[in-house]
Amino acid sequence: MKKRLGIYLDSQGIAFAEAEGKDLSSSVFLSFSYLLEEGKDFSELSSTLKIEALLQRGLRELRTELKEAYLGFSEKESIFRVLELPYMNKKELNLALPLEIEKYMPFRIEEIFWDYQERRVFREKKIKIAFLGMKKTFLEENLKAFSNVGVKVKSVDSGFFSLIGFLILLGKIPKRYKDFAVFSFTREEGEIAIFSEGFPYFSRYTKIPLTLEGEPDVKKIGKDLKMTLRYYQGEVKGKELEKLFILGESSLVNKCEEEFQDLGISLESSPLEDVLKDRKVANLSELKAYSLAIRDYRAEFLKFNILKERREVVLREEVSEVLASREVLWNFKSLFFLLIIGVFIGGGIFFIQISKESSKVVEVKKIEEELKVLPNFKEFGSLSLTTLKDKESYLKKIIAELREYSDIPKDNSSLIELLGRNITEGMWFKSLNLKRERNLRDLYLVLQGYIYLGDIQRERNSLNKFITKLKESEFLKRRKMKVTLNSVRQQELEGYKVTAFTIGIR
Amino acid sequence: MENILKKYKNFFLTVGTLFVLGFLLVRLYSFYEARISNYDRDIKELRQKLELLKSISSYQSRFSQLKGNFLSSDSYTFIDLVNDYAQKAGLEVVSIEPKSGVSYQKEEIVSPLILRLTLKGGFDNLLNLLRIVDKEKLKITVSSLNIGENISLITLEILGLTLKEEEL
Repeated sequence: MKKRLGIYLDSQGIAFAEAEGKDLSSSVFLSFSYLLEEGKDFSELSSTLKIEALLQRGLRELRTELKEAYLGFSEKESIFRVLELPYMNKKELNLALPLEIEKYMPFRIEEIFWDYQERRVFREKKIKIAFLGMKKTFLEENLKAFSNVGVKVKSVDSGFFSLIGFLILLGKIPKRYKDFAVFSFTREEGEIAIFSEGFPYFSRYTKIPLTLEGEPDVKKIGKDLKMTLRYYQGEVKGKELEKLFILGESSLVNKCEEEFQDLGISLESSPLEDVLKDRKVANLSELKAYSLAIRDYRAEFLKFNILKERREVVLREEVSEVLASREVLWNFKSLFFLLIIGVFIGGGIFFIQISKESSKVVEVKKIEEELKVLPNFKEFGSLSLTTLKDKESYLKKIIAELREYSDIPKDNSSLIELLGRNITEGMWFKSLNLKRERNLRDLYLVLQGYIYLGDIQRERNSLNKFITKLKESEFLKRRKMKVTLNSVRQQELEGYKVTAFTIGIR
Repeated sequence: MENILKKYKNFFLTVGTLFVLGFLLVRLYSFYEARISNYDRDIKELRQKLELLKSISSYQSRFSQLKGNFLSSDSYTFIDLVNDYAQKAGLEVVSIEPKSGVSYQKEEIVSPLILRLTLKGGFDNLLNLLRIVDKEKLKITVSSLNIGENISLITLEILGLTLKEEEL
């Protein structure tokens, strides 16, 4: 099994732990006060040299040959922030986060090493960010000490969140809990973290208040915790924490259990001595060092490495440049999108219009075919509409004129026959003049004749009879012609007295 | 100004692109609409032409039917025809001559042709002639008839309608 070395630094000293696989091989904690015990005067030395001295001693005592270490610091030295961002992709998040996080801390992003874990909440379209950072000057000073003793630092993590991850791995914090708090503490310092929906919501470091006897003042700790929990409940209204996990020395943890009853939250204590089954660790720092050594086995969402190379090169100018290029990219995307829409609409218009045009072309061809089969197409097809209209009007007029003459009366013979047929006793005709008017329909006939019966009364009767017969004839009635007696007189003709008459028929 | 331009660069760019796209789409649409509009105009004209040609064809056909009832404008043919009628009726044609200067004012195509005849024969022969003329399909009629005391000498005028044009 592969061995790994975990080193945890806090204000009290340095803890070392070597793990083989998941198992703890050995661990040791060296306090800075240890240097004083050795009788050497380190008060004038820099912190780098103090760390160097403890590192050399610790590695020697641990009897490890490992030259790579997984490093962790206390919350006091870290900057831990939780924030929410609108939903965006990984690339956009990497660009937006450095500038966004500056609103939450008193440093510029260039001044710190940092890393983050994210939780994407799809239904709320947001991203929760757990951000861990550390001042560059501080970390570089410490890393120099490691370098001086020939230890390469593979990662730099939060000791507290490593510990929580380790407790989850051990089952000390069951995975079913999503909204919970963890409080771990020593006689000098404590750390509290609150988790909401299984993701860090809040974390803080606290100095442990002491009683006059120099013992941790559990009551004050309780008050402090109470305020923290109230703050959380004020922020997240209507949401209750399921459990408060307490980790520390058994004597302290037991006191806490008694004092924390009024916190209004279910407690679960884990005395430090009972955390590991097979062997015991001297203190919480060793446990943190152990949790750093088994980094690979811990849950990903609580795993940070602020030494990631990419973090070091991200400068404001670069971010701006990248953002600017992203803007260009966005513009290009937008334009491309608009162009695609434009092409689709244009294509739609094109196809609709082409289809319309095709149907029109077909219609034109159809009409042209119809035209070609007309008998007069060759003669008149090339003429303009105006000429054709004139031609049509002329023809219309001609046909109307021809129709006017279509019913010329053919009644001359009938009229003459009528006269001959109705001639009465003693009557003969002298002359007959027939004339048609210009309209060819109206007719005018003048008839002259004589009657001789030897008795004037009889002659008159004969004439009247003739006229009556004419008037009553169907022919004249149908033609609406009138018979008029123009003149009648007695006249001597060749020695005889006759009745001469003139009749007009019109 | 530069700051404003920088700040609203995206907005201006998007609006500009939308404007250009809109303009191009409107141009594309207008281009095809103009073409379709031309086709619509052509179709309308062709339909009008089709209707006019059909109408002209119908009138021409009607003219062909009607023109058979009219005489040709040649007066000699008419004289021959009338002479033939008189002979058939048993009348002796004393004289036959066209009457000149006869015209109707409004006629476009119909023109009257009148022949003045002097005939010898009886009343029955005259009736025969009148019957023949009345039965004739051609547009011929007796426009004037004069029978004097000498019944055997009849003067009459026969009018025939001719067409100025025989083809339209």
